[in-house]
Amino acid sequence: MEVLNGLGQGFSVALQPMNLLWCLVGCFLGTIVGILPGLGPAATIALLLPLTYGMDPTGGIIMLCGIYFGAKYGGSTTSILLNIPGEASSVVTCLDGYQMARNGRAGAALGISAIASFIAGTFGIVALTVMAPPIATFALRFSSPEYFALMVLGLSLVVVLGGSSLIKALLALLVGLWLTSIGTDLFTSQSRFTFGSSFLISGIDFMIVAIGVFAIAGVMESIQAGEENTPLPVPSSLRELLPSMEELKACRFAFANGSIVGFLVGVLPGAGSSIASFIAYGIEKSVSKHPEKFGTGVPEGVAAPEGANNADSGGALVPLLTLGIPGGGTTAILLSALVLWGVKPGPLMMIESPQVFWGLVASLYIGNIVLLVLNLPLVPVFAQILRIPLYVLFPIIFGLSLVGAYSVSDNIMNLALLAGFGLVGYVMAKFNFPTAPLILGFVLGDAMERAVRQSLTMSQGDPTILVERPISAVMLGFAALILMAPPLMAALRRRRLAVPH
Amino acid sequence: MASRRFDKDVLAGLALAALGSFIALRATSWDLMGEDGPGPGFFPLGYGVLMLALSLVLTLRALLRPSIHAVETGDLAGHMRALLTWAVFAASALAMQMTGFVLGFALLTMFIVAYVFRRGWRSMVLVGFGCSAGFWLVFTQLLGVELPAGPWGF
Repeated sequence: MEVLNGLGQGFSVALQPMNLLWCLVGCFLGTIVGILPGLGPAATIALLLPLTYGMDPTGGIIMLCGIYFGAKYGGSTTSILLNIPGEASSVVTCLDGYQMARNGRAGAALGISAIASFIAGTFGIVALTVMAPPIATFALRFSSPEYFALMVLGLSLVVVLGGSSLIKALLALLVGLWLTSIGTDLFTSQSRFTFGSSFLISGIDFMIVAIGVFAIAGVMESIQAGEENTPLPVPSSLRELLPSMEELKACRFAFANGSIVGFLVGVLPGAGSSIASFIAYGIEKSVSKHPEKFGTGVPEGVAAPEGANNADSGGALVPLLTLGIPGGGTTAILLSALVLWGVKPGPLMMIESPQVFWGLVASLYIGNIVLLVLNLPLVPVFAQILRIPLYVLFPIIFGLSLVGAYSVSDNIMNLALLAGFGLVGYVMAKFNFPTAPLILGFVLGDAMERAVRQSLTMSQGDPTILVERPISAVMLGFAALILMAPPLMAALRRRRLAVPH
Repeated sequence: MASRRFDKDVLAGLALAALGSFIALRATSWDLMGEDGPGPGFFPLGYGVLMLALSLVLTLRALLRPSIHAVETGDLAGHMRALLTWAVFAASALAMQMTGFVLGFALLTMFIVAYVFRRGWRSMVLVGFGCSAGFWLVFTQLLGVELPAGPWGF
């Protein structure tokens, strides 16, 4: 009943003309961003966030979530038509999507992708609606030790699932923690790591780090790779986009598989939609009657990963909205946006800001329908964006980055920092360091430090408070298990391999 | 053995070990634990020491493993192109205090068009000033966003 009341309130907010407009604008921008290779949802939200400072929080977050969901929809277009994933999560779609296009079924592949995205996206939002209230109620029992343990658990998952090397992911996370320490200590007003600069006393703004690491570094990587885009033939009518009945029938299980796997993986911090789409594709192939055909252009090979990729978004919003813990780079930016507007995501969000919470959830239902309507008939139009030459696109991304960073505090030093973080992001990519842990460390660092210091103040310096309370003890235990599992497994594997010799 | 100095993980490990040492040393100069609980040095000391330990593990592991993950030098031209673009981006961003956004951004765009994409001077001028004028029109004029202004006011 509480859910239905909340949803009713949410739809009354989301259906207000201005909020509908922001939803439409977000979905539209997100789809464009998803289509453009190299500009992901995290970078776009980071770039456009400064423009939403003056907006009403409900309208602002509705627009940003529209971008988030829209980018997932649009990401498949380049995978199918160009064999270039628009987002990391669309990599798997290339396998069968591009093959379908080569077999003359580009329109059907785009259509299946849009339908799978709609079904799985809606499933993810329904699951978010049902699961969020009980999780938030449970989290009301949390105090500082539990929050610290929860952040340790979330970051452990991010570190383990987010990259190929556990040590590198942990190091990236620690650099993020350091960056967030720069400035004035909130408890004692002590300046930390400011190097005598008055500019750094107020700390580094999250937006500058995010834009630098995602947008500037992304363009630098594309320039290094020497990317060039070439115009391509795209389906010209709605009829060409509609899959056949046989193709839809073949995708029945894939729609369900993508929905469930995507949502469950989305709830886990750090797993991300790339992993969700890989798992869904793997399951689909393993249960298929014709696994050998995967990779040659089967519709299930498009439906499963695209569904998982979209259901993941609803799942990722569960820990963000109910616990205040983002699971990835994009949700970390959404968290900072909410905080900027004075809305505190967490167990009290539904009580303190019901119009924002339920308005956002309701707008996701509307956005999903908007995206289906936008994506089915307008894909041929959107695909024309691929004709924008990169020598125009890259300066536009640089320009938006400069505007975004400068508008944080109208200070030219922000631009110097932006350039610095762009270089950091590029070097990290070249040295195979994942960037998501750095961003999450930066976003959660302050709250984590506050939680551990408050906990130790509560216990008068006794660290056992963190393991004496059952919830925090369980979460810290899980975190330890998660962090110890990969090296232990590797050691066991080495031992097993050594035995025959 | 000489090439190990250029192993990606060794270089990264040493740089991060230096950063971890700096953080830990700096943190010890602040209160670690006071009567009211942990001080400003407590948390940085923790992650500084952890960073130092992990970066040393990364370095040692790289030195001990048989295969070497050397810094990619195969695409030296690509790296140079990216780094030079970054240098021009940084220089034009800082110069905007004197040149203003419009001129600084136009010069940056012209560099990208001419150097990275090897387009002719017409495209260079057209895209450079077109993008710059577009940004000025949308952000400064329509949205009222403050951008660095040169001596001529934009």
